[in-house]
Amino acid sequence: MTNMTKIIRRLIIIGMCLFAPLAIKLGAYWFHKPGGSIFLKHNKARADIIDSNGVLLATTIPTKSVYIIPSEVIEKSETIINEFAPILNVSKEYLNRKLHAKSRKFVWIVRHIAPWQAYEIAKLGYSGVYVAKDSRRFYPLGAMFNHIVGRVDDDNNGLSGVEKSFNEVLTTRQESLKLSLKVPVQAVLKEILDEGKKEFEANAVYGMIICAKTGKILASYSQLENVDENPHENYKLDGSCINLNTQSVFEYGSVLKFIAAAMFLENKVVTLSTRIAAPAQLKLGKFTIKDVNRTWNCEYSFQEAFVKSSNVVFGTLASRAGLKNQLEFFHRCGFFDHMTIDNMTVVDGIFPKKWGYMNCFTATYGYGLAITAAHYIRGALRVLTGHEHELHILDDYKGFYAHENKLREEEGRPILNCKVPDLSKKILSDHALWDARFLLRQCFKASQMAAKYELEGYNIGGKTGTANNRVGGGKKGYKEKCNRCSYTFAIPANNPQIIGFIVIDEPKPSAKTFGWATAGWTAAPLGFRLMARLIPILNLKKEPVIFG
Amino acid sequence: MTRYFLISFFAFVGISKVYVFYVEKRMENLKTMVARQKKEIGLLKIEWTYLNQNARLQAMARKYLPSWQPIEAKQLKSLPELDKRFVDEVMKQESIAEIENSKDN
Repeated sequence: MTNMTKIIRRLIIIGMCLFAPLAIKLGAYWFHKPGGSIFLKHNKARADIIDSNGVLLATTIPTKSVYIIPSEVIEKSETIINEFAPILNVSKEYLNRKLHAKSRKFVWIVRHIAPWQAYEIAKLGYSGVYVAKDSRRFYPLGAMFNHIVGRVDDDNNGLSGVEKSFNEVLTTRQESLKLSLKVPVQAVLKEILDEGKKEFEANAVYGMIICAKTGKILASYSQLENVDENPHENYKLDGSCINLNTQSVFEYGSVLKFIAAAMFLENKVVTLSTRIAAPAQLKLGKFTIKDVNRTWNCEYSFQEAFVKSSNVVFGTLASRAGLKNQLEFFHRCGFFDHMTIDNMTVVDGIFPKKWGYMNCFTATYGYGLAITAAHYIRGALRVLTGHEHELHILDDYKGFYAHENKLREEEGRPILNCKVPDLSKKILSDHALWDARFLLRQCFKASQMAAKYELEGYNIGGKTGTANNRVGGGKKGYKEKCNRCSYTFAIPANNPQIIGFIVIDEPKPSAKTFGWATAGWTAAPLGFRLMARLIPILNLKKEPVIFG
Repeated sequence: MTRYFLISFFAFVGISKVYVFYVEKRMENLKTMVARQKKEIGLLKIEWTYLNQNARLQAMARKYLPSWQPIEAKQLKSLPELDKRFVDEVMKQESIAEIENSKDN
């Protein structure tokens, strides 16, 4: 081996060492997949929330905010105030207050300003005045999904609704959170409920529409205050920030007769054609149960009693069924559960501490126990389908729970409980299921106004419910002539695809309703209008007539 | 001979390093451009959703398409229904033709 070859060999080795990183780099790009981390990750402050069709419900906008560090400010306050007030469009007193604030380290001046305003402020170049990048939560659809999506505070922390329940998911993950809500359904629900609120001068309107096959919530709307105010912008912590569907409990009255009827049929207390004596009033101790608009004694079949919504008949049947059966059925329908809609908590119902004789009677027609609308609609879903369904707000709740639980297991946090319904387990026997569906259908057919809306062919079932509002304020008793009118419907009744529940709080009687303020005159027409609009949107098909 | 080989070898290494440097710089520029475009797309999506608000579209529809109303359930028919109507119509025409034929005869 000559010296030359040794030199060459060494130089080749050096050359390869110099070339090696290059080769590695080129090789890495060879194996790199496009769309991976080769693209800059745009780190949003908070993930979007989208509906089941991909429409944006909540999103973050990058904005700019002006702040000062008072210890660094050199200019006189008057100059700053005079220059900033026209640009930022705030009053001089406000700026004065901010400039003379106690803190010497950090004071926000105005948050979320427009780009041109940020430019003007920065151009002036006062020392101590800084423009920071900020982000703001924006709801493009306005007040449509007011309570269900919820709101955030100044630091983009969720305060209510989905924003609060899924706060950590939204802050940690970058992909949008897909909800099962649908914008067209919500839009129709909102429009009709708002119309009804204006028409009947009600205190509040709220309602939910769910898909009966999967338990997913398609629309959930709750309006307590003025419609024009966007609840996302106003952080009032008064009653207007309550989602009346999930955060408030009421006695819903006759709509609960549907649950009670299913209970009677399940326990074979009655069949549809059993005749029951219905006196004009039923005296139990110092309490009398009366029917609306009936002062004579007669006899009803069970079907007639349900359609005519007779409190007396349901009260007498309650004693035949027994308290134990009743409570067990309510338990099956989920009224006593601590309900969560995919980790969103729903307020527990208020029940009598000790279930006595009287409570047993009144519970069949919906008085004496207070539940949320979400509890009720889940109960109706369970009775109409016969399975132990749960309500869901996420589109892909199974995938979400799988992912979440995997992360939680790694971190050692407690696992979320994914309640997937066990479709093999039935909570209602077949005959009771079909009889209950039949009853709901007959109740709809008997309503005279249903013919006006020409909803034939869809086998719709519906039940109205009027309940007196309680006096409230810790006092006992009911308010005179102040009702809570509700309407529950299922399309179609024999094989429900859609179940809805709408409530109007204190509708006022008017000339158009001939002085009536009951559900048949207020909530039911709204329900019919809603169904007439929903059927084309949800593409529900006409079916052969089943229940007559 | 080996000298030329060595010079060319190191020249090749040097040139490829410079080339890779410029390629990477271009890629960084592209990355920032893509990120900016994605941000703009996001803002446009927000604007699109805002302009697609139900109330706004309804107001425009009422103003510019005054004769249009929302579809009602009674306007939708299913195929079996249409079929029945068609069959009834055909049968009606046939019976009319039959009556006319019998009149002629």
